[in-house]
Amino acid sequence: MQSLDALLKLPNVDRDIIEKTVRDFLDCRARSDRKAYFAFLSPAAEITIVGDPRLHPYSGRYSGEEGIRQLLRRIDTEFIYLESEILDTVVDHDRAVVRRMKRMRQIGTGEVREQHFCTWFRFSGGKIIEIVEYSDTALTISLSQP
Amino acid sequence: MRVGWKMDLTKEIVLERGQVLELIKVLFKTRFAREIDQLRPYVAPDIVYRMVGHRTHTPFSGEFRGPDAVMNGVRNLHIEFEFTHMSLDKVIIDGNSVGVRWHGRWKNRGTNASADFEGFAHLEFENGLVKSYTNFVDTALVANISGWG
Repeated sequence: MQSLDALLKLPNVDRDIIEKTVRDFLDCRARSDRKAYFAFLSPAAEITIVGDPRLHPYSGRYSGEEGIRQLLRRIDTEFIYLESEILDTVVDHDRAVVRRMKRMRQIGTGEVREQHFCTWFRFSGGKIIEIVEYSDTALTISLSQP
Repeated sequence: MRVGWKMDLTKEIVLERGQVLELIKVLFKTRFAREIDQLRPYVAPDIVYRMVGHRTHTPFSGEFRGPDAVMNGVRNLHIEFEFTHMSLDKVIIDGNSVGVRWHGRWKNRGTNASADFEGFAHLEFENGLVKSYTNFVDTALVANISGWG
């Protein structure tokens, strides 16, 4: 039987596990470790890039491994991420948000800019099932279409 | 026998989860009722408000520090845009740190063009007051309805 002390720590343990999971997931992305990246995702995972798809090239909903791979391929053919800094994390039960800054280089023009992202995660069965990403969409467009 | 109490002002005010949620609702309602000055009692003296974006393509973006600059920054947005059907969709609370997914309709008062937006706000509280507020919105769409660039 767990001690009361151990039980009282559980919410913090859950919170710490979620935060570490999210950080490790983002680290996989930064290292382009696709195998490890997809190991965090549920087969039913969905990524939504928030924005008007008529204006922003990556906006939309990407479902399942193949859909998400297509998104990553498209982004990785245009941008290289040079460095990433996590600014804030918010964790609440099965949901988390990470606010971060990434320095990115547009491969075609070589231009380097800082982009801010806010990424929402939802977990189910220990895996990430939903990701919603917000960013400065006008900046992405200005880099993609100089 | 009279029993009195005295608030210990040296202790940090820590909001409970339910209080944070109610405060978020009050702030949201007050802001979108355009009662900007009524937000002042809720903000910390060293508040930072960020509307994520670059001024070259999102004129109202930037970082605003202190209550006066923050009130002006928020007020300027309300001068440029009419906000309707604003709604809090999901709120997550982690101690003094809060994430809010929202959606609503923005209309640029100059062009009369409007669009539906979904966005995200991150707030941090300290001593029961808003210490930082960072807002993400589809800046490309904001520029599009505003006729910027």
